[in-house]
Amino acid sequence: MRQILHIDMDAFYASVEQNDDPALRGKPVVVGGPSRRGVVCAASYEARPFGVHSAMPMGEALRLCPKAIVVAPRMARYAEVSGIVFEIFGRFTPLVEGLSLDEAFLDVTRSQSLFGDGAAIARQIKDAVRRETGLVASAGVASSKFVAKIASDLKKPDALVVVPAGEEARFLDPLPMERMWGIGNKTAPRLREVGLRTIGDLARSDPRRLTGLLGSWGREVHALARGDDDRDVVPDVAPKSIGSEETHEYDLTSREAVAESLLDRASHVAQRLVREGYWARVVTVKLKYADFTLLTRRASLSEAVSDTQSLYEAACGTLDRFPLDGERVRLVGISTSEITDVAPGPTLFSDPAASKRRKLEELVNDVAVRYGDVGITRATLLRQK
Amino acid sequence: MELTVAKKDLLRLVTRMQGVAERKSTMPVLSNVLLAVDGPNALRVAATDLYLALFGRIAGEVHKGGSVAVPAKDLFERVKMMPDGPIHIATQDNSTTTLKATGSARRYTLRGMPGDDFPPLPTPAEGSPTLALEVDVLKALIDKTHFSISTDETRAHLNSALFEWDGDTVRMVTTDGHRLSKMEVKVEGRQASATMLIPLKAIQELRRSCDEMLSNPTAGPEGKDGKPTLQITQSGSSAFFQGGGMTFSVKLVDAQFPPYSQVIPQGADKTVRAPRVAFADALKAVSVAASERTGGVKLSLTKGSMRITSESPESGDGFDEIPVEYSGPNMSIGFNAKYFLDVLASITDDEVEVSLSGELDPAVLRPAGGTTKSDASSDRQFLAVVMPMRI
Repeated sequence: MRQILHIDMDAFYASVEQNDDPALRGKPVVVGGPSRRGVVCAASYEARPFGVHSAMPMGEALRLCPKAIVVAPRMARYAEVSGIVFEIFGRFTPLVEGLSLDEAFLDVTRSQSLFGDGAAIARQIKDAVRRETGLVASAGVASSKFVAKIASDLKKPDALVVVPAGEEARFLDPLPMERMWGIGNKTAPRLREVGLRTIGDLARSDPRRLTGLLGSWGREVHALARGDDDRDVVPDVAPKSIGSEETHEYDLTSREAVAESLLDRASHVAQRLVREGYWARVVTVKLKYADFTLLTRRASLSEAVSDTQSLYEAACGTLDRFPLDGERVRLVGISTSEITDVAPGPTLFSDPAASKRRKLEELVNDVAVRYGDVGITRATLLRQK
Repeated sequence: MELTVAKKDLLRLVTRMQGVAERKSTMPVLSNVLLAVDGPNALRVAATDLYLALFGRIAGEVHKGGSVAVPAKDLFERVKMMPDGPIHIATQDNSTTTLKATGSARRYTLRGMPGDDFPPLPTPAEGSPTLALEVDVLKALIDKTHFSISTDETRAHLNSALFEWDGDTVRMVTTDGHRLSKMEVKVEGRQASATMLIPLKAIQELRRSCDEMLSNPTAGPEGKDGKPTLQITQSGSSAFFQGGGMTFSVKLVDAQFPPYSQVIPQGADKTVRAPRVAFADALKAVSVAASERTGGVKLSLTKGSMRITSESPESGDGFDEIPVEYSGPNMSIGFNAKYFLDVLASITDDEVEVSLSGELDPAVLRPAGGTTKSDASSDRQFLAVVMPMRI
């Protein structure tokens, strides 16, 4: 029988903030953009009794809980803590499927001879997370992803809910159907109208009736409600490439204009690499000319990089290999490949500027998360906007 | 242009031109080989990518002067298919070139470009200093160091090898930032001073030149004692290597090689002496199971023994153990196995010495004797520095 764990960090962003700043502990903390028009990214458990929850407009959150302390998100820090948590997951099984920074499925079926059954592994993971990060996680243990996810969510925070094999249907039966992913404000009223309230009600319905109410999705809902879910845990793999390209409204006619466009593309690509926690070792530049001829040139770097400056320099280094005299360029793109999540280690001739550039990139990313994409950019690129 | 040359001679030069002619250049002529009549009884064959240039002369029976540039790959494939013996080469006014076997019906026609379109080849300035170096010495320098040249074309100073002539020592140093190799050979009685940064592509070509001259010693003029010798001339920003009937010129990298002597650890306090072949064998075996992402293996030293382990979340663990000479404290240190294997494969000694300090400090590998043909002889000194990795 499969043993699937769903592990979910409790109030992750807010808990990281409380953990890093003792002055916030025990107080209602709301993470989100500081303006009243911003949105709540996360709320601490102290804020939740007031009705504050994530995705709520900040203005509404502060009306419900005027004493809440608003903290701006620090995505780079959350990614760092998430890295530690996922490293802990990796000690127990290679089959880890991350859903976000704070949530993952683990298939521990074949780890049981080493670490004990699913419940024992979940307990060890919760302990290790608490010991190594000071944070609290909830875990669900079941024979499928669907049931494990519902289980982990049932008794938050600091929960461990185990659904033994064969008990799936009985476990799901009394739960309100809104616990199912995808059944929310739009779908639930339609189902309630016809007298369906619990997951058990859905399981006992005629699948054709659900298809009538929900469309093709009805069949899947019916199967899941009965606890039938054979989806595999798909381990995370680094993407093959991350890139960005832009078709210009007016053709670019000078090397300087192409270089400037490359800087803009490099900045986009760097932001994506940083946000997703990657570094790349190969940079490919793509130019499409006015006659739609497409040329690409690549540069492979000795060190995987993730900052605008390094990507831009590598990209510009390829320009000598493109015909540019008297040419008209309509599209400029940069794509990166040989992507890794392993941060480059120290080298014989360490360049102190390299780690600073990554830090700058993380800062730019934080600003973008707080204020949107207009927050911060390079002066050179301002002329374009 | 019209002349007759021996297939064997032409094929030898045209083969070598393949590594230099640039197929992807924005200048189409650079994907060609220049064939030019040079005096009453010689043909000059040349290729260049504007950074490297290679040219040679072969004897021929000239009927009519002139020159033509023909696609390098096409020419190579056709000359290779010619029967042994003389080949008759003739060009028409529109640069169409005919190759015809003498005494056989086999014939090719090639579309060429006027020889005048070919860029001028560099020549050393009059009176530039010239040094003579045995081909086997240059080959040893390159063989022991080429693998740690960085392939990062955006960093020209690492994408090249440092060649130094320092008193009576010639030296080559290469590094990619994670490892460094240094080979020195004493050339008694020849004092000189020179520093050149030779780009990777040129090092690969030089290596081929050396191999060819050593395997085919009749190809060109020889040194005093019968050993094949290269004449090295530095002129302006270029260096010229002449030997084996060919001249190879390279535009040197105009950059500063990193201060390499500073990163060669001096005060390592732990020394391991390991049997080279067994060490390489164990490393190769354990690295099969290393994480694909890092290629890392862990070396754990205890008195008299080295354990080599690898762990991969995807594919499990690997383990091996070999006896070594070691009497220091227990320690563990992680490395990219490939970096060690490249070094171990380049040396011939039975024993290798690894000097270590802390687990985050670079290791130094040196050949440690045990064979008659040692790399650690009094006139040859090799060492490699490898940065550790966190495991």
